Amino acid sequence: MRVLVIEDEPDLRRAIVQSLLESGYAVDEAATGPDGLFKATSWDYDAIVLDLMLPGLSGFDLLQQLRRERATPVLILSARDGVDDRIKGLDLGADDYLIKPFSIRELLARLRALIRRAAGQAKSTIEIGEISVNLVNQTVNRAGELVPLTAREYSLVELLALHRGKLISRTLIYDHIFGEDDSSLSNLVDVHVSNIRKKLGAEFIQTRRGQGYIVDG
Amino acid sequence: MARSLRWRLQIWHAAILVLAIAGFSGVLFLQFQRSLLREIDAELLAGARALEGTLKLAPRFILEAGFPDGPLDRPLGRGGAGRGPGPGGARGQVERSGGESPTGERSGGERGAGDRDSEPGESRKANSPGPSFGPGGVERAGRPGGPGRPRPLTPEQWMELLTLPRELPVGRDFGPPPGTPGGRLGEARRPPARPFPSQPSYYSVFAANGSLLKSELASGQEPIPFVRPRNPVEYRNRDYRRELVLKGPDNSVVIVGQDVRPQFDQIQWLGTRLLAIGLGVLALGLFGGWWLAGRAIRPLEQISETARGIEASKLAERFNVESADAELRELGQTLNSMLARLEAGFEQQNRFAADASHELRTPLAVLLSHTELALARQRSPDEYQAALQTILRSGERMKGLVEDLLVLARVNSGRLDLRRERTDLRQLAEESAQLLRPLADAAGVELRVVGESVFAEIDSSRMGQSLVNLIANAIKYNRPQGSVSVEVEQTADAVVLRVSDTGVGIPVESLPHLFEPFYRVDADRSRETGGSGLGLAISRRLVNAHGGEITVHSERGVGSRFEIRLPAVNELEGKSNLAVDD
Repeated sequence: MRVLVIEDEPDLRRAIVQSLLESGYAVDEAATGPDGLFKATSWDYDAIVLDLMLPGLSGFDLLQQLRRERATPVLILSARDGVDDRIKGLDLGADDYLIKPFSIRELLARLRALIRRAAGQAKSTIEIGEISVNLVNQTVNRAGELVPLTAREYSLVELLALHRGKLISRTLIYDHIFGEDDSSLSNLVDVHVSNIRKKLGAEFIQTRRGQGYIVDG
Repeated sequence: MARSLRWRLQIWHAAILVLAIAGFSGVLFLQFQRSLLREIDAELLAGARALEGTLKLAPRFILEAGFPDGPLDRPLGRGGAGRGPGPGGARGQVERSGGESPTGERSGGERGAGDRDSEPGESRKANSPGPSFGPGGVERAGRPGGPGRPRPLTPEQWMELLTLPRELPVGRDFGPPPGTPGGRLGEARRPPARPFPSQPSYYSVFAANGSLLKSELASGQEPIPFVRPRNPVEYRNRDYRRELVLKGPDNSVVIVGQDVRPQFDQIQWLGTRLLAIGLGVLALGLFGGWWLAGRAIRPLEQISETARGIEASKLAERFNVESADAELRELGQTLNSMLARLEAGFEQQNRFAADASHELRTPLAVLLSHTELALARQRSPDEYQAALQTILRSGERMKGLVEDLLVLARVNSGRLDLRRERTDLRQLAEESAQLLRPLADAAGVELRVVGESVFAEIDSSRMGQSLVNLIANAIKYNRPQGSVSVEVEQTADAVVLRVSDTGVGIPVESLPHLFEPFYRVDADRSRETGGSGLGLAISRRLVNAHGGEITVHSERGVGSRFEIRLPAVNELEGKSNLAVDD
């Protein structure tokens, strides 16, 4: 999953990015409004964490312009706790609103929920055959047994599971799993897929040659 | 009811009403009584004067001691040999029966229209010197229309003459001047007469020693007791009778009276009516007053009803003044404007609190998120150190903000005590600039201090704080390779600290808000320049606390100029103040 963090306070941005990375997200960051808008409109993020007070372009304006092009789930992060601000933010197309100071865990939970809902998945556990993906704990079980996965492997399983039955292109996998800073090699996805197949069974991920991968097809 | 406006109004109203009604009724009553009695009094006086005139014809001893016992067959010369034989009241007794016959006659007499101006007594007096007993013997008084040589009167004739006249002259100008021989009662020059008295009268004439000379009383009437009057003329009321006591010649006493029961009845009737009407008016007035007071108070009750509903959270409510009367509208408008001020004040407070909490939220979020992150899993010492440093930074930022808020609160509430000392502003400017030199160097901004030593009576640390705020802003909002100059100047009536920069300038629309707490020219401020947003607010309040003022001039793209203007210190005054402070 790939998330964009638009926050001008460097210390806070660092904390958010760090915790997202540690949760297995691919993270991009922006410190100003225009930069944030540029990134948000040029990539198809799974979610965007958006601060309202931004230099150059306010969070509200950014949101308004973003909504003309994309329906990316947006979580507003703001020190403004007024009801009017919250209403305005939600009405402009935000999907959630979190007030500073906030708990990192809550931020992560809300982001998970956003991503899940955006994929049309209401529950936090996805069952595919004998494989069960727990989106909260970020764990995968096979026939009741916990299967140890790396963060990257889990992210890939989650991405495919959330979009079960849909063909996921390699480019999309790159876009969602790897951040802008990852100097990824072209066969990195193949390596991850092969590792996952060893752990969850070869038939879990099917390859559509030249197109991409699909789960539960 | 305790201190109820309505009740107090009612009580005052009642008191005033009672006073007014009582006063009005009293005046009316007395006026009526006087007008009724005046006619009677005039008649009584006229009668008494007539009797007095006749008395003057009698010799002194009779007037002093009454008739002597024995027949009145000899002439009684005034000042004659027989002077005051023994006292005798027997004659009076005899005459009493004589009063009965005239009573019948007089009751038929018409009550003439009150001619108040007539003073019949005077005419009698004027005429009195005419007929008299005379020194030679008793002379006969001139009868009406009976001119002729005066003859001495016999005592019987005199006694017959000593009675009330049958008619009274009308009009003021009557009777000949005194001393005119022809001037007698009943002459042609006399104005038209009217019947007298208008109603039954009685009289008693006493000698000086109290013996009755003559008396004509109503039938069944008690004899009039003798009194010795203190004044020449005395009026008195006795048993529904109006009486006049007149001091006659030689201390004789004339008492004339009328039965005034009808008049008394009339007066009583009026009194009863006045009392009844007064009570009625009072009751009506009280009821009306109660109603009016209630009506006057009702809008007040409405206002208080509205006021009861107004709380700190509902200050937007207003009193409806459209339909109110002028005075209440004024009250309502006054209250409304007070509410508006309160609302603005509360609004400002709320905004301030919201802004303050907002400012605290970001560093708090940093602090919490880094702590949470650090605790989420096992970290390396370097990671912990980095986290702690971030946390420390956030904590310090919060501390600075809280301190600024405290200063602001203290200045706002007037609890800031300034330690004023005679301070060299030039030196203060140097020190402030020194403090910010690293910031200026980092921003590539030239910082210089210009001016001579100028002294002012200030709290150097507080004023330094203001100055540092201004200089820091000038550096932060400058352009690279720009410059900041701090000028110190003494003018005729003030000392001036001027901080000028070559920065971006401030938009005109922002200038009025510049010194408001948390106001930022750029709402989406950038982190590298943004402070707490309290600096200028604090600076202005500190300068104001010093009795000075702070102003700003700015031009977009050219730069801004902030001026602190402090009252100049008179050298001598400053020293004496110092001496007092020491």
